[in-house]
Amino acid sequence: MKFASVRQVIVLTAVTCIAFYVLDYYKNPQLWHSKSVALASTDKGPRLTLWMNHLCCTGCLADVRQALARLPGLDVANATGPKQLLPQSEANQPGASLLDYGNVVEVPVTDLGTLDLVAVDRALRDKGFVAGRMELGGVEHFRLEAELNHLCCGMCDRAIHERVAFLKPKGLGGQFKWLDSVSVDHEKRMIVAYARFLQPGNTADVEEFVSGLNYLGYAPRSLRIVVGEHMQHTSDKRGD
Amino acid sequence: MRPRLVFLSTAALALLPITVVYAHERFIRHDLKFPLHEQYFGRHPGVLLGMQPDMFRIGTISCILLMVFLIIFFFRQNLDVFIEHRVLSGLRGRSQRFLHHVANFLTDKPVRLRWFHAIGEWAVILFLRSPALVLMYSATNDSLVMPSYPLEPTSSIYFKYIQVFLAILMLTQTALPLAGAFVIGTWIYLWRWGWMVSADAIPVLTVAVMYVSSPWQSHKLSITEMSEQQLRWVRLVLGFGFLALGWLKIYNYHLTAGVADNYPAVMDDPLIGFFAMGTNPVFRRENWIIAFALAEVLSGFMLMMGVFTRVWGSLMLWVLTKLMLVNFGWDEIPHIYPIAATMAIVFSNKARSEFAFIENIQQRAGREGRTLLRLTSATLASMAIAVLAVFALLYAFTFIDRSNL
Repeated sequence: MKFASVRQVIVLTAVTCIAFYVLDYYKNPQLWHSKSVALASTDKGPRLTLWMNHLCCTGCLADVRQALARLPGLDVANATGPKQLLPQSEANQPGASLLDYGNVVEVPVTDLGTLDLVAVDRALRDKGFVAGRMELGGVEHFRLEAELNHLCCGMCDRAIHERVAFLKPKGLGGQFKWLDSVSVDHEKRMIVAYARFLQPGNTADVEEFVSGLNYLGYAPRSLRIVVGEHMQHTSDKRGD
Repeated sequence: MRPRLVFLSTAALALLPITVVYAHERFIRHDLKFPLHEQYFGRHPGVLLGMQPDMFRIGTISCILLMVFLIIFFFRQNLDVFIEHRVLSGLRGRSQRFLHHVANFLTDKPVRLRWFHAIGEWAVILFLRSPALVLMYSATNDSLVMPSYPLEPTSSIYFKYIQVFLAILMLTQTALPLAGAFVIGTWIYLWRWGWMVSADAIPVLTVAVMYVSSPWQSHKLSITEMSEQQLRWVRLVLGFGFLALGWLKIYNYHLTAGVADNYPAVMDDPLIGFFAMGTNPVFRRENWIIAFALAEVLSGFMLMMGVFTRVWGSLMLWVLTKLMLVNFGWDEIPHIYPIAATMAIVFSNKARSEFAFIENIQQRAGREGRTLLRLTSATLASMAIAVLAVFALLYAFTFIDRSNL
């Protein structure tokens, strides 16, 4: 009977591990580079980091800036784009290519109250872009309020509760890590998503919520960020 | 004898319900709703060990409990002699045989019963194959190894196929050393998400022990038993996994408190209150974290070191099964795997203890008629082990600021 030697086990383990790391690095570039972007955002106040699945040259960046320019709550003038972006003329050359055509634009948020994330999404789409992720950072505790045009009955409400509960573990591929719970205000036709505490340097991909609602069959009219209330110790609350 | 047995079973039952939410915080909601008193977990100059007095009190209770269990364990041979020659001498037939088997079960001695052996064989088969079910379940839930490690959509398809391939190896018992290397490699890869994720996944390595020590032509064999060495390593890894999870609860106390915030009923358990008795109610959640974590540390430690392995294993079996079927439901279905691992240990007749050398010293002293040495060696050893097992890390953690975790 032939058993595996220690050397064989070590080699096979190392090969497995390295293969997983390589696969992860090449297939998930957004994860390997997101931390540096997120950390850079710390202490700069609220920021919206847009992961554009396509943003290859200065022409693309100009169009993105133009799309966002008229939206309230965003400081597009101080938005930071990728540093080493090909000029449009160079990108136009035959044979010009990139390893990754996606890029990141970080936009300071000047007024959380007026910022409408659905409007951001729509403005980008109208210009021909799609933000793969919209990561909100620099806000410790917040909730998202999505206004709907349609929420006609109790079953509409229940469907949201049940299917969000279904979505969370399924996670459309494991997202929604930031999402704590969801409530429905039938009178206001509003879905409220409560976020978990966001540690400094971390971000929440709010685009997940928009695509999640779309997946459930709802198209929000607007999606606003509301900063959460201050919390108290439980013993303080009880008056212990 | 009788009071001892009564004490043993009472203590075991007393600890049972507090293990109800063991190691499940990753599967269930654990977001922190209210801030904790952060200073509780830090240094407190001027008090014993610089530890928060309530934390010290809970540590002391846990330490005494562990010590008592160890002392009883070190005298288990004498206990056995007492049962066989005093208690059972008056009995005959079925009742005598039944109590003999029960005593053997409780004291980790071989149980020579056909059905017991058959369950043990089946448990090993389940243990070897159940990880495949967990992998398949994870793959269909877009996650890696466990549903709590979600995969990114950009790479999920590759990892899912790899998991299915690995599951096929496991189900068909093909090239098990390769499957073992895959499991260990995957576990090391989990370090990419942080050491705490890897610590959380230590139990996954339990089955890798079996796989890497199986022959290459494993598909031609019927593996229904673990060797003494395999059993020892399975016990060590599984026990260590639970021990690590216990300490992780104190280290990453925000996460543990988050479970309590979402399931406040778990804090109202009177038996956790036993560990936290006499503590300041202002620090109720903080005390609960320490009490809950140390209960898990104790059970992990005893399983790892082979102290009343079957008793602790049976408790864990009951708890894990109840969690899967009653408390948390379908989300806990991956616990088929730790249930299978624990079953394989409980129904094995090759249980050994890592503290056998202390028992030997104690027995030798007994044969030489040195009663004082016997009692002293067993008591001092129990005390030293209990203090080290409970207080070493508890003390060390007070020096580490974990408020930002």
